[in-house]
Amino acid sequence: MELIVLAIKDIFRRKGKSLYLLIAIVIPVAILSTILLTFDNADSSLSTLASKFGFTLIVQPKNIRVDKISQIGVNTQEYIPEGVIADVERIVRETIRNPKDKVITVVRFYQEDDLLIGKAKVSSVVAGIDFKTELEAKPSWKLTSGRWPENDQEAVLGGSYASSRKVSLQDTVTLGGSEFKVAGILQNYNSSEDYMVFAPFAVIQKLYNKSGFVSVINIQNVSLDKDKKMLQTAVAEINKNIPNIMALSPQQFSTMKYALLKKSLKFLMAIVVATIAVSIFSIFNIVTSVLYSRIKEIGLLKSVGASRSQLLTIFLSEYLSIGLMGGLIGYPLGLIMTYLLDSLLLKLGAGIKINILYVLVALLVGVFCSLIASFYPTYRLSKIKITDSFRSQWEG
Amino acid sequence: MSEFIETKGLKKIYHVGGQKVEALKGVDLEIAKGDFVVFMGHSGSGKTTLVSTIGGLTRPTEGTVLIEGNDIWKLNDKQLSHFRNRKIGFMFQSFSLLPTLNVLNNVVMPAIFSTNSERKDTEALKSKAISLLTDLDMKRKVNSFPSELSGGEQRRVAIARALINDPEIILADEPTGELDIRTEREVIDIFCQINKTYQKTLIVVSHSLTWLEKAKTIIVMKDGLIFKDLADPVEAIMEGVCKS
Repeated sequence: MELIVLAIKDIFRRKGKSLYLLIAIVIPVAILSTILLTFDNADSSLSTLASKFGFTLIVQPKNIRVDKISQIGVNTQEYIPEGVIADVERIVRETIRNPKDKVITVVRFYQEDDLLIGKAKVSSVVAGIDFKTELEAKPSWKLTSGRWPENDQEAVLGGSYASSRKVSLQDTVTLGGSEFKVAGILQNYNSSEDYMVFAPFAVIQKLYNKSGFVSVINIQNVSLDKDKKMLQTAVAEINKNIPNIMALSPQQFSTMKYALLKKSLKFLMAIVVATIAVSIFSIFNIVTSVLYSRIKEIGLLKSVGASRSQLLTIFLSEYLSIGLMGGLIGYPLGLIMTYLLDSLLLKLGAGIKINILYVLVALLVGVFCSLIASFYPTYRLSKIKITDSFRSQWEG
Repeated sequence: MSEFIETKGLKKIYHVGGQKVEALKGVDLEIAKGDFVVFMGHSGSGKTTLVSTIGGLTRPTEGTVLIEGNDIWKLNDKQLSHFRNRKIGFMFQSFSLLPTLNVLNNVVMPAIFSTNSERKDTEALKSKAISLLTDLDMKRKVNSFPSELSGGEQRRVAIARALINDPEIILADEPTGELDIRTEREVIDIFCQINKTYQKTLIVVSHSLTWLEKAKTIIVMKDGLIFKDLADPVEAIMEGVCKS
């Protein structure tokens, strides 16, 4: 029998208290794991989105605030004048200096509004797009059913949007008082597009009295794709010469989006720190009460020859094991919470992947909470005099 | 019998509620190797303090405790733990066994704190524990837990545990307290057997008259000092220091 066996037997003996300790560790670990995994998903989702778009260069309004970003991660409140489009194209052409090199410009107009499906109002993000240009830039874009719109009163729905709202082909949806017939359902691409409603660009612009404005300008060009230096020059020139806009490469776009998310990370991390602090306080109280009830046991162990270091080994092994268990349970719980958060709220759609680094972080946080909180009471207890322990006095 | 345990000017002062309580007032004592000593005295006479000071459990305020000529209170914490582990086998009135461990593991438990590599030979340890439990008529209970044992059986297991590291001294504080007369006699007989068979030095604190019949030396404590050696149990009863 080894010291660790004594520790493990004690965990099972005090099932109730061990369970409390475990819960106190699992909660902060699960919250931390959820935040880390969600941000990881957000990052990969944004990167996937940017690369899937196949765009070389993205132009959007300058200084988009986090609170102006819609629930599915697109800007629906800041706009760029249409006049900028020509300036952007001119700078791109001047940079590539090859008139034969095709430049495709795709513009979108985003608006967040309540969509009337039957009698139900559903908060939605509507994208005004030019279907022909979009398909030219993204030939991989496919419908799972129906066809692309053929007139101004037809719309296409994102796959997840249609399935979650139970909207079918030929159903009629009402937007800003105008009716649109669902002509097609878009395939899911694990991006924010899965949750959008697509309608003709000019119609949507007009419907929201924003004629002459766009939400984003996407440029596709092979030369810029191949030559990153040339791409950076184009980005720099656009940013230098056109005010109130921000040009980005897809990579920068992803980084910028992530930076926006990171702003909220500070707040969320503050929550994690607060949760860890509460957890440590709770563990400290539970451990103190458990150890208090074990004073006689400590006296017995000391009397048969247990040294202070051996006692510390027994008790800290016990709390280390609970900390590790907390990490092992907290991480999968975090995975489930991340999945639920994504499915019900964030709609990042990046999928849930097990990240070994975060598993290690979860284990470390579990062990950290457990050991930090239990060290002082354990240390005090190891110093108790044997005779005092038999009198059940806590004198340290 | 040669000198084995010696105390010189042993004093112990407790601070209770801001007041000084002198539990030991300068005890000089010699115990020979292989002796069977029973300490008696009224509650608060200092007998438990004296025994726990000899056993390395309570640090004296003044004076020395020499075991085989070595002052045990000059040892550091680790050395003192080692001393308790190797030289002393303890028995207490209550809470003698760990409730999480079965009888066998309770008996081998002191060995896991031992630094001696031989004592960590699990199989040899288990064999020794079973042999001790067999001697104490407890073999059938090796897999039982303390909660499943009677008071007498718990004492037998505690005795086996006290012997597992083959210590030279067995210290027992009220080892037969709360036991009925019959079980008490059985436990005392076991102690006599240990003293005789294993040649251990036994130091027992008790209020029970039954011990007087068997002990080689009886020491009566009063007000933190050795009152007198009493060889006659009747005299002890007259002094009112033990139960008749």
